[in-house]
Amino acid sequence: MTRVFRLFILLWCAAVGMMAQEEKVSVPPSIETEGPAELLERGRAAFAANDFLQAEAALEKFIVDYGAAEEAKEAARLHRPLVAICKVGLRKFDEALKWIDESLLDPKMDKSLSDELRFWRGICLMTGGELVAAQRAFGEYWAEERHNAFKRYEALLLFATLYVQQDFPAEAADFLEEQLPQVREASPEAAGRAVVLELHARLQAGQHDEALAVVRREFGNLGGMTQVVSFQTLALQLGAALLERERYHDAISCLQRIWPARRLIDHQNAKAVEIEERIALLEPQPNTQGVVFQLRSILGRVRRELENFEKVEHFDSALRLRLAMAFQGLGRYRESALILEEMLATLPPDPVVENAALAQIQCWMETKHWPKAVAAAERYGEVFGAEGKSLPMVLFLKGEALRENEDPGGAQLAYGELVERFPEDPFAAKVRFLQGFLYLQQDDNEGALYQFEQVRRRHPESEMVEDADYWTGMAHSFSALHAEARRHLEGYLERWKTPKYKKEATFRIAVSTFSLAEYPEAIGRLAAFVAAWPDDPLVDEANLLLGDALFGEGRNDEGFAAYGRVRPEAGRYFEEAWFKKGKALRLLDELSAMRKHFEAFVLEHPGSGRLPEAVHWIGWAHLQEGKVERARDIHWKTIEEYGDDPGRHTVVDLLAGLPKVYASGGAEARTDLLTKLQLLKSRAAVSDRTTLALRTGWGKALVEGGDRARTELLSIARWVDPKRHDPVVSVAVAEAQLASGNRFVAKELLSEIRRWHPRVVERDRIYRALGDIAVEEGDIDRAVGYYERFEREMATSVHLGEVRLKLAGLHEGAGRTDAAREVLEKTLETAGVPAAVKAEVLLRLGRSYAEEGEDRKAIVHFERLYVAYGKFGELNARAYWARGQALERLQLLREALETYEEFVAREDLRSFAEVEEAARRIEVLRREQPIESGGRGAL
Amino acid sequence: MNVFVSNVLLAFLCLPAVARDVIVLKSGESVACRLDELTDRLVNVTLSGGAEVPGGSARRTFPVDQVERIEFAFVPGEEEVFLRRATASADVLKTWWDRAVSHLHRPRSRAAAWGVAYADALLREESERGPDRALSVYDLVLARAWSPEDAAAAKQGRLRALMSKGDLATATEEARALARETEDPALLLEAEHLLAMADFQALRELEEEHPRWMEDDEVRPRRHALYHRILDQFLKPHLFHATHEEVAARGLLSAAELLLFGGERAEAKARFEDLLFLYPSTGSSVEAAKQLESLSPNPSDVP
Repeated sequence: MTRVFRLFILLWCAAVGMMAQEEKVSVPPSIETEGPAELLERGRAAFAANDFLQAEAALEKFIVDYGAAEEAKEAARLHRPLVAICKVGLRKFDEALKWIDESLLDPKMDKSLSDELRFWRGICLMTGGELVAAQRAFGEYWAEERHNAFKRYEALLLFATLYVQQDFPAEAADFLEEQLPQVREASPEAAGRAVVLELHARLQAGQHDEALAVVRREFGNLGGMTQVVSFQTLALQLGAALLERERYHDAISCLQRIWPARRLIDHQNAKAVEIEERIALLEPQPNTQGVVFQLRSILGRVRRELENFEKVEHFDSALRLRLAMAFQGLGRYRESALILEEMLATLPPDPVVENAALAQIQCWMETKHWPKAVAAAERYGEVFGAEGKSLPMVLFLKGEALRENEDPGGAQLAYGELVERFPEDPFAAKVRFLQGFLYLQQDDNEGALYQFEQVRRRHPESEMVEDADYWTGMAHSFSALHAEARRHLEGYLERWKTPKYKKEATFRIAVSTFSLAEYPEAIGRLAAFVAAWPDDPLVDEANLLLGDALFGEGRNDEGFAAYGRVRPEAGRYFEEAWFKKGKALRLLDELSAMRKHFEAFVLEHPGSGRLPEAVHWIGWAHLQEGKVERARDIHWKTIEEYGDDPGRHTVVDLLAGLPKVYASGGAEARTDLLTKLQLLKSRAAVSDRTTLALRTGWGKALVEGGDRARTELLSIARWVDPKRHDPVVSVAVAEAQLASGNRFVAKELLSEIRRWHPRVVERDRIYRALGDIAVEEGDIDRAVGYYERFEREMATSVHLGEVRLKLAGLHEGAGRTDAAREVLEKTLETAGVPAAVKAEVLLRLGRSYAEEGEDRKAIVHFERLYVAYGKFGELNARAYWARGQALERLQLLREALETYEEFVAREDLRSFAEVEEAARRIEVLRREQPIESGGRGAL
Repeated sequence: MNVFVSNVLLAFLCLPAVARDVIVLKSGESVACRLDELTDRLVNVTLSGGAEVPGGSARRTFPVDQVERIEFAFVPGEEEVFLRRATASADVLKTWWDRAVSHLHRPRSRAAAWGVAYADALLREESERGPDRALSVYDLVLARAWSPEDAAAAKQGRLRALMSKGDLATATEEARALARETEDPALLLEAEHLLAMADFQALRELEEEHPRWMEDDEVRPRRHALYHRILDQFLKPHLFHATHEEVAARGLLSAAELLLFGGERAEAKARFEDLLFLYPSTGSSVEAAKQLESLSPNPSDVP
């Protein structure tokens, strides 16, 4: 008997109260001595009191002992069914069957009794293992519409159950599906159970499509279903089966129709309360026992489901995890991640949830949603902490996500946490290697070398050791330690039987040899590399270096041949080879050949970024040959030919280079250049070649300089299209507009340039100008935003110091003294900031401290100014004066006097007004204040 | 029992069913009558026909504190409009709302139903000031309606009005609270979808404003954050409320469209396919099918 079948029978019996006779009631011994009348009386009374044991004993004895007698025949006929019922009640199904069959032979038997016995006959046959006969009995019972309605539905379900029992689940399911419309309206509760059985049978039959159809069909009826938990549990099984068969869409469709555990429990609790209320309402009313009995059966089923379900662990997590897996199976990582995210937010931690947390991070990684991956990893750490069995992997993934999110610092921290907390974890070696690699990417070769060494020392068995070994050689190479690089990589090739970086190491050894200027050996190594890997992309670089080395050895023809082998598809290496070839021709004094070489470049590669360079060399060759006009002509020809194409940005470089081409002719040549530029600009404008007109106007402004340049730039402003045109031109025009007071136009133009060229090199000028405009407009926050962006993005700009001064000024103006000082201090430490700016910064810092009454700090900055930046007279004068004043406030009068004296003694500062003030203070201090020694010591 | 009331009851219990107001007293008795005047202190009615006033009528006054409720009969023409109030015009409904508004707080009055119907019509008709006017009606009903059902309807209407006004933040917040109270996420889903749509528009504007956003280190993270947020939001009904099929399908369709906008063609195609598979009978599936067809390679292009 299958588990489901046994369960069904037990539940059914319990529901109809058959188990009520469990307690053993002993049969009174007097029965053996009682006569027929007493037996009948005792039996009937016991039967009426539901005491089946006594009733059975008395009535069976009566029928067996006296039933054959003529006068007792009628009584025996009447009481035979009662004995059958007693035996059923006592679960003596095998004995009951005989009594039922004998009773049913009686044509005069009461209809309701006959109805009852026919139903129980099926039960007896079923429990006796006579499944076919039982099914037939139930089938006959169901087919007869006059039978008890309640039992008919039970018979229907038992009929179907017996199909399942006999291993015909498909037949059971088809039968139920066919009968359901009849049942649904008459007995929704029985219909609900029929649906549960149908779904179970479909699953048993492996009919997943049909089972899914049941889940879809019945979803709208869940509210009315008594055994909704069983149904949903089966649906979960179906979802899992579909998932296992990689039917992801179907699995999703199924799993999406399953309620969460809380809802199921709430629903069943509400159902139980509703049934209890109905029972309470009906019970006191007459003629409702039947309904009450049914309701109690239903209530029992609901409660049992609830009890069983409340013991089920991880229902929700299992459901969500499966749903997430189905989405993952479809490659819908975002959906999967979102489900897992919600699951983690609402479910208490358990092993399933922990796996889900890891899967969530991986899904976010798949979607390249790095911040989410990082957040998920952090959440894992918060929820599962050190107990999390996947914490090392989580930390690794977090580091990877941070690295991908361009946060190398954060990545280093995550990697560092992993190796610190889990030094023996298999991930540790990989992470140490990645730490080294991150250092390499940040040009910290020393840091990289340290980490690679750690991989070798701490994880000698790891496969990452080889990677660390190779990259150690590369780190030496990046540090220009070519001898170390070569030695290490040669060692690498020896240390590993089949080195996975063999090609790369061989190439790098050749490059290092070349870099050490050991050309004969380099030639051999590079040639060997080219021969060994003729199709490798590295071959072009190798040929380029080979050419250099061959020229270095005076093997010019071979050198030319090597350059010639660099393939056009090698891009910059190809161009580099071309220009090296040109340079070689120049050094060999083959000027005509060199000129033709570059003329060919201009002709064949007009789109190259190195076009102006090629034109320059053509012009240079002409100049060497004394052909000044031809040198100039090639520039004009190229500018005219390509100048109107907005995509050829290098034309502006040609224009910028024109003053050099005209440098030899003095003022006359300059005038000639300006005239030619004006003419070209006019011709271009007339012929609607506005890009060319714009560029030549800009070129003319470069030559003009000063106010004329601004006028020129304003004249070409109408042609500027910030989207298409060279930002260097557009920015110059915008700056001219700003200088002319056209703030709004300048702002619009600058904003548009930034919009279309967010990474343009001129963005330092753009941010500075937009910041200045914002200041003029009184929008300080916006100005601070632009200046800070300048700081972040243009740290190498020559204007950085100047912009920081402005930024500090804004902070000061807004009362943010600390922020202002921080900016100023930072400026002092920044390399490349002009000395004049640093001097100004010192003065500002000194004043800032002085204004706050921190004179001791102030005097240091003032002194530092005139000691370190003595050439900036005006600033020096102010610093001396301010320092003297601060010292006086500190009552360090001797030092103040010394400062003033030093100040007035400086010849170069005599013209500044502060000198006179200082002289007056000297007089006062000398006259009024007796100077005591030891003042400096107080500093 | 009050003798007067008993007599009245006896007189009217057997009256034929005609459109009459009924006053139910706190004592449990009820009186069929015509309501003449109703204040917060007194109820004046006219009793007509029956044993007490055979062939005539009698005016009676009840103190309000004795009255449990009044069941208002329909006045001529009212019932017909009331039955079709879900489709009636705002102009028509306004008349009835204006007549009923003074009874808004009275148990069993239809005033709240008229108010909700009127405000619904204002929203339905999409006039410029409609959402504002509707909002004020819903708020009034919310403040004074006697039945929780009317208050709930007004609450939902208020959310729709807020959405129409574009105040999605408030709408979402209130929808979230409403979803918690009622376990019905429909309005929350609606509000969140509208929020996501507004964000999608903001994304379009951002990309228009920054056509080279991918090169812009400051804009790129903002753009990505917005893009991912909208995508997640669009997908949520599909993932967590899939049985609200139309809403789930609409979200999935929007997600696919967003992916298409973001240049993630294969990802978009996958979502259109999901939609057709999981929500084949929804309105959104038609659009998904069209989109999928346009994304499929032209057979003539295949070598």
